[in-house]
Amino acid sequence: MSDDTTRIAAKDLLGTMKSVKAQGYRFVGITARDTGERMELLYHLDLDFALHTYRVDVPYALAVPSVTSIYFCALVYENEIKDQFGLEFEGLALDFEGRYLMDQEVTSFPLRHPKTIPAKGGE
Amino acid sequence: MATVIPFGPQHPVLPEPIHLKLVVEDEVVQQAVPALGFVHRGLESLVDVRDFHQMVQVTERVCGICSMIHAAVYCQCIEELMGVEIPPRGAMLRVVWSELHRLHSHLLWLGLAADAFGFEALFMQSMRIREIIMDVMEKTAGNRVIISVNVVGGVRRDLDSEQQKWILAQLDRVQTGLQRISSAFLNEYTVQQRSKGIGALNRDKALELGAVGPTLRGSGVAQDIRMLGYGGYSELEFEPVVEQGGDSYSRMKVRLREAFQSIALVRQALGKLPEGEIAVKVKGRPEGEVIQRVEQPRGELLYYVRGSGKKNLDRLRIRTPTNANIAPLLAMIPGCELADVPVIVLSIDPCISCTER
Repeated sequence: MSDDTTRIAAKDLLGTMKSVKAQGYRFVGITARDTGERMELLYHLDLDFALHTYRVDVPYALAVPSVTSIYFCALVYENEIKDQFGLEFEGLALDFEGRYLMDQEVTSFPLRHPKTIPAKGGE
Repeated sequence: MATVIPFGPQHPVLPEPIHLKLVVEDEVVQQAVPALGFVHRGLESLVDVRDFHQMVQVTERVCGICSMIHAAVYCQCIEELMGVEIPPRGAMLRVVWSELHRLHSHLLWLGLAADAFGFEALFMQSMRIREIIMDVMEKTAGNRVIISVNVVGGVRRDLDSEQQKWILAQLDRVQTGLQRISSAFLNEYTVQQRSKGIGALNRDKALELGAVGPTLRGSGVAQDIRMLGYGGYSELEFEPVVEQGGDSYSRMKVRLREAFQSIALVRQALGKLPEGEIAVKVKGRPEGEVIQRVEQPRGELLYYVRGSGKKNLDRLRIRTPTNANIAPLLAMIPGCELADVPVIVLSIDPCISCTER
């Protein structure tokens, strides 16, 4: 998977997304992973059947810039990550406040690493 | 004055629960805000308690319509990670069952669409034809929906020549039945009135909003992941079905034509079914990360799998086609009549259990 993956910094995320959208890339989705030390976000994009992934490392406490102002469709993926990992997105077009898939009674983030999981909120 | 009308989660045209808050002025919808979470099961997190072999059964249960395709792409991921090449016969048998799943999924959708149009006789006919495919599933795999034919390394059931002949005969019956009802779907006044020009999404908007599957192809984009030639598809002749209208009628037409295409693909696959083993024995544990994409009846399905040499995977991520088609749906609804909302929602063929996992 390494040959079609580019690692970028969180501060370059919006600029990169603007650039790939101008090139005609279709937004495919975001995969989030808790490494145990930080969060890793994989932004998947497609152009003429070629899938390219941008990999962004973010600390748990950092609010990631939302890409919904560029790709509106990212709202379903960002809300899901917020639900399941407790990661905040800054400028999210439609914010379900952690209740996109999760019920009101759920007070933890089910896909966060157990050792780093807080009951609610950041670090 | 704007009024907010709740649509769903229980609604006569919805087979699964999704809720939309519809902001309407008079009878015209101004905005739709979705709410999900009614059938979320947390299946991705089961990698912590089920090993990578057991996860085949879990992924089959992501969707009750295209269960076989979920398990097939999951196995593809693990096989890629472990460097396993499955026998050509196993790969082609996966195509046969995948296309049978697409066929019964599209027939189910055609029936539900007819029901949404208020055309009950057409619903009955669609379901009657679909039943033939369900019988094929039962006879070849022992089950109607969750057929459990996939294992890491291939498939667990073979089709002998008698079964192949019988399947081809059943496909003839399905084709005849589909031909009989096609003109009702394509030319009937009621169907056209309820679907033409309804829920329009142009090509650029469909691409911008990340639409997939018949929703994307109904807007004139020739993108079908089967064109990548994964599994046995590389051996088959195949052209994506594309319609230019971008409305509910075009999306219906894509699915109707794809049903015929699936019949042709099963015939081709059985005609080219190689001799040999159907599976290889797999040793070891998956290590590394991989992304695989396949074409599900509703569109592109993406699986991300990461393993670290343990029996449990580190991460399984499932991006289903309905998830991708939610943003396009929100763009289709504003400006439509309130009475058209059920048809538009149905036109993306929403699979909510898939979406929420």
